[in-house]
Amino acid sequence: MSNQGPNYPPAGGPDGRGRQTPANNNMAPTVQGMRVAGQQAGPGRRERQALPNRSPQWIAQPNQGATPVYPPTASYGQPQPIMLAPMQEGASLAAPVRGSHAATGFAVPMPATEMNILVARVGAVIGALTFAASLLIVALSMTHHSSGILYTAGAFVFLPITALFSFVFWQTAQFASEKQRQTIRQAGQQTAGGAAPQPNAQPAYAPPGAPQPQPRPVPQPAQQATPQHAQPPQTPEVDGEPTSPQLSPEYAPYAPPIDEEPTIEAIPFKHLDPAQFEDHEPDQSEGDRVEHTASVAELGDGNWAVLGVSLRGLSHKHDAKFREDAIAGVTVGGWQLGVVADGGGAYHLSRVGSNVGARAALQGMRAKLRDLARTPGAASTEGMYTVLHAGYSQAYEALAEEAKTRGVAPRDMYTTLLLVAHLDLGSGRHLVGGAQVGDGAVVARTIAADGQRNLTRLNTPDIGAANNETVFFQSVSPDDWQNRIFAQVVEGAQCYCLAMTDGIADDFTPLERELVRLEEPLFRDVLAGKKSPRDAVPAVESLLDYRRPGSFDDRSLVCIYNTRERPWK
Amino acid sequence: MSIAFSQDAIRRLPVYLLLDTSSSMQGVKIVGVNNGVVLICQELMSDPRAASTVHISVITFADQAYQSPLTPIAQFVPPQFPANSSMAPGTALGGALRLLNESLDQDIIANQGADRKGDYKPLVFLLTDGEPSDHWQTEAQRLATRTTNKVVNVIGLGIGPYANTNILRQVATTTLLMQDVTPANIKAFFTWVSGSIMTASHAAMAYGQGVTQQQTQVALPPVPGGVLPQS
Repeated sequence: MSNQGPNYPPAGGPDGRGRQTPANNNMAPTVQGMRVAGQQAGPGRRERQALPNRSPQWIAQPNQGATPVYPPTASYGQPQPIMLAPMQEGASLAAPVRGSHAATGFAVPMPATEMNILVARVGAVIGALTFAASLLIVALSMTHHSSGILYTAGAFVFLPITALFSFVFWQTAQFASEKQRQTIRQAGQQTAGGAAPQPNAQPAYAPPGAPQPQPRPVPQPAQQATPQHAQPPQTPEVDGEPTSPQLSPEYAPYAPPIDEEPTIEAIPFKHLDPAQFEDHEPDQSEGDRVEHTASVAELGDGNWAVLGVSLRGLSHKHDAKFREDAIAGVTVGGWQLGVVADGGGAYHLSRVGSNVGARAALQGMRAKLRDLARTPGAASTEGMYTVLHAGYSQAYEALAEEAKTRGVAPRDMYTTLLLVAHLDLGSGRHLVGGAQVGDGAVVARTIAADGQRNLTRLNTPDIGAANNETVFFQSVSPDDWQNRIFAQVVEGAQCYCLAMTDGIADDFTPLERELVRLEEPLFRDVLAGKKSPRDAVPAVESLLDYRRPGSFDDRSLVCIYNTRERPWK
Repeated sequence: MSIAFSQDAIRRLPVYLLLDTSSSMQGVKIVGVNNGVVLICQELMSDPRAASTVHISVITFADQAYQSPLTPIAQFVPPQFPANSSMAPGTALGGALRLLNESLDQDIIANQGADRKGDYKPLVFLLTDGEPSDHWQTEAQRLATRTTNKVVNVIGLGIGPYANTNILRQVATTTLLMQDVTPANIKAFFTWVSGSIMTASHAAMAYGQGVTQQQTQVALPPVPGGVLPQS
């Protein structure tokens, strides 16, 4: 059993119902990844009597103490034991099967014996002889007109009756002989293997090179190009005397005829290498063209810089589509402002939405800052909140206006919108703010004088199993913005803020643990030593052009940082 | 200067194929199914997104139900069901749904915490040519009323005139019926299946904005001729 591959249907008892001896329960720990469930207890099902007891214990547990096997040797290719239901208590493997015969539908009332077969065969021979006699009489009565008409008619009536008798007896003999062969085979298995029955099927599929469980060549059904009806075995095991008690009972005794003759060719499977992403240019006729990469680099007061990079993702390259992310950033006085937006891929004008939204949000924040410049107390969390809120307001209006101008629905321009803002308050205090609708992340990192690093989230991510709504900037009511705008004062000898779309954020989740994998090379290798953020743009682009399985989206990052600081050494 | 990523598993698009392998499927049907799964494999490997995200698990059901583990499409070996012999009678749909529910419980990574995204929403394709021989209602109900790892796309295909589409309708979100079981129709259906999986994998990436979109049904391509939607 241990060298047997899983097959379909799985190896089971002789009646094909998946019975196994209790000894096979010991196989459970060797099951790798293969699960099995059977019919469940319930009213009104067929075959209830014939099936094993459906208690939960016999459901094989997958991967007991083992990890899933990749490649899935357990699934089809390699020989693996499979777990089957334990046999019903008291059932004997060698007992003849009670049930209906597939060929005739006759019930099997008694075990087949040599005597039955002999009687049936003799009956068939007698029937055949009577038939011949009737035929002879008919022939004679036709040629010799002297015989009476009754005599001829009687012979005519006898003809079909004798033929029928002969046929029925012959069929019975064949059937009885078949049953006997089955019974003997089962008995042979029991004596040969003790408890373990021999496999009743070859692995349904065996890859080239896989060990064959049976040295004897057996017809592989799966390799037959045109399936044929089951044939009796061409092996020496005729009429009850199996040549070996371990003979593989491979064949099905009878396969019910199929209506249509199969005319389907089996397609051989061969492993292919996964297709690679290709780079295709969008169609020239497409409007609203967007550059494949975008960058923002501004240096403001106190060596505070805003640096942003947006790259077209593998998926859009492959599909000859434009980048749908957008970025924007500016320094105003002591303030640094950044925006990232990610147009929803399912909406055809999403790249317009992300660009319009990002630009308008930046304008709204700038305008608010100009107003606040004349207001005392602007450098506070309340001031930060109003700045971010003003950004959202302007973006909301601009997107509605743009949709109206174009005559499209707001959802055609669905986009996410993430804002980040920073103001250095001096003495190691920083006013940081973030706003987010849609996926992505906005964070602030502070590094204390003793080197202690702290990550502050400036957003509430828009995911969650319970959240059933599609979250885009246009789909969220302005009343909800208050829950999505964050402003606070953080302390640290050094500080920087990051806003990113999900094309990056998803590759570094959970952020608290994983984001350092991006921050460290970014600040230690790329930004360190570059006085102007403009000089760092190519290196940041190159850093963000990483390859990671399952990561195909556009990637956009806006970074607010001080060019003099060395947060990672 | 490069990024050292963690070895965390990437997000997967799980695809479950629930295939009826009872004795009534033998002949053209089962060879067609064999070929269809091979076709799905090759089609998906030709799409870079699908090739790196789709994971397949096959659940077969006849007198009992069996499951192969969720496997990356690149390492998946399609099953080859024997065409003509040793197929068991019975249609243990309940058993198959039970394995599906258990796998959804155990194998699929749900969203965790604030921004830890789990696997994409699974797709389930169910093929049968008869009607269940076991108790299936409980597991069907469990599948329909899942709260975690909910399956929003269950496509049921009835093959041939004896398929009970009334029951399929209660299990599937989309029910189809193939009246004429011809190799061409079977092939067309499987081409559609792989197209649907690619659409789902594309939608999963394109939406980008998280799992929330995946709560809604993926807009599947139009069904091929020879297969009739059952409403």
